[in-house]
Amino acid sequence: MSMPQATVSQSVVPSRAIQLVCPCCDLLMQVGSNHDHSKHELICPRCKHQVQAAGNMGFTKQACIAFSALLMLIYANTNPLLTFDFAGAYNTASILRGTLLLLEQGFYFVGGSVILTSFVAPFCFLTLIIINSLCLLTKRRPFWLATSIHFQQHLALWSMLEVYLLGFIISLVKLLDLAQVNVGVGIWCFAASFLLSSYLVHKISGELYWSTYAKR
Amino acid sequence: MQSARSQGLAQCQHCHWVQAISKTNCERCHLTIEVRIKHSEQRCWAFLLTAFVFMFPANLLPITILSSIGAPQPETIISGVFSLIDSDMEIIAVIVFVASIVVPAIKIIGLALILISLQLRLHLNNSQRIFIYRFVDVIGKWSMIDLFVLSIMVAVFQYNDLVGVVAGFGATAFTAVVLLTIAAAKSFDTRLIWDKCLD
Ligand SMILES: [Zn+2]
Ligand SMILES: [Zn+2]
Ligand SMILES: [Zn+2]
Repeated sequence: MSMPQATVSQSVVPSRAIQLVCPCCDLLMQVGSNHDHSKHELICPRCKHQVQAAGNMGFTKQACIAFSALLMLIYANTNPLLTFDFAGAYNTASILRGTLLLLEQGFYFVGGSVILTSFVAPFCFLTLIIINSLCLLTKRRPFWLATSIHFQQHLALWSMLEVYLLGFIISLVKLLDLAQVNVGVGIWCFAASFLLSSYLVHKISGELYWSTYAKR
Repeated sequence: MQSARSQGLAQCQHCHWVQAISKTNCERCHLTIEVRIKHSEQRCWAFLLTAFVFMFPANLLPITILSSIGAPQPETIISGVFSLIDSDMEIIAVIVFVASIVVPAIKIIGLALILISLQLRLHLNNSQRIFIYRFVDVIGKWSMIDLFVLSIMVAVFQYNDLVGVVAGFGATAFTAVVLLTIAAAKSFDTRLIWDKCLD
């Protein structure tokens, strides 16, 4: 396979064929300028990594979805996930309460990890999507914007809403064995927040962020 | 098939912009470029070995302590799985067993296998290596389940006089295993697979 001598273009818009590199295996690829990446995804021929996802969700749409997901997440964290009667006492559980109790018991590391993966990471991820896409929409470029886009991309890894949902189902089954459990509205909001944010994770194109960022 | 590095090019790990390897800051996003993750193999080994050491307290010490009317009952991961089987919740028992014991073990073994096969150049081809890596990467976060269940249980019984749930030191060790294995997977640079063995 012959590869034309690489010329590093100083301008942000490359001339004809676009040079791409697979982040997973470092393969150098040439993509024709007629490649429409809103319709076709780009898969690395060597390692089968998805180099670019298909689709280009606009910033307005992203910000709106992130805002709804954020509201759902806040509601889910402050309202009871479930209530039930057991041994004469009324019991209720909310996400934040559970992790704060772990911290109170002196388990800072455990409680900290739980609060990071079930609340802080998804919360910051969604907030950063809103801030960054609004900045790019209004063509504002504060000095921290690059760092903030960088954090947005890396925080998705630490958001574990789907794992929390499965943990909730397991707890529910365990508790159903003991008493009558009433599922609260909180968990439905939590599930909605999970669906919206995983839609965002799969549809957001990092390339769109950086190419818009680079336009002066 | 040529790697970008052999052509004197480097990709920014943040914005994926391709540029000359001599650049220290990206032309497009101005963040620092790392052509390869520094000391990737050593860091990965360090995280893996620490995670392996923490596997012992995580599995031997109680992760929850149930205090009911009688004496406090410490429960390790495996005894929790058995008590789930006793109360006829086999499916839940299987999920907890896989997520808390099988997944961390697979992560450590899988990453160690990739590292050893790269360092000793064993007969594994690159698509098998990257398959193991992606599998380890995908299953990684699911071992957090037991900790989430713990945090829900602690909250549920907070106002109950008869039953109380308190975390045990095993939970701390278990959290360490989960986070260390995720860190190990993230510090491994997958591009090393193709740098070392071109098959
Ligand atoms: Zn690749
Ligand atoms: Zn980055
Ligand atoms: Zn960059």
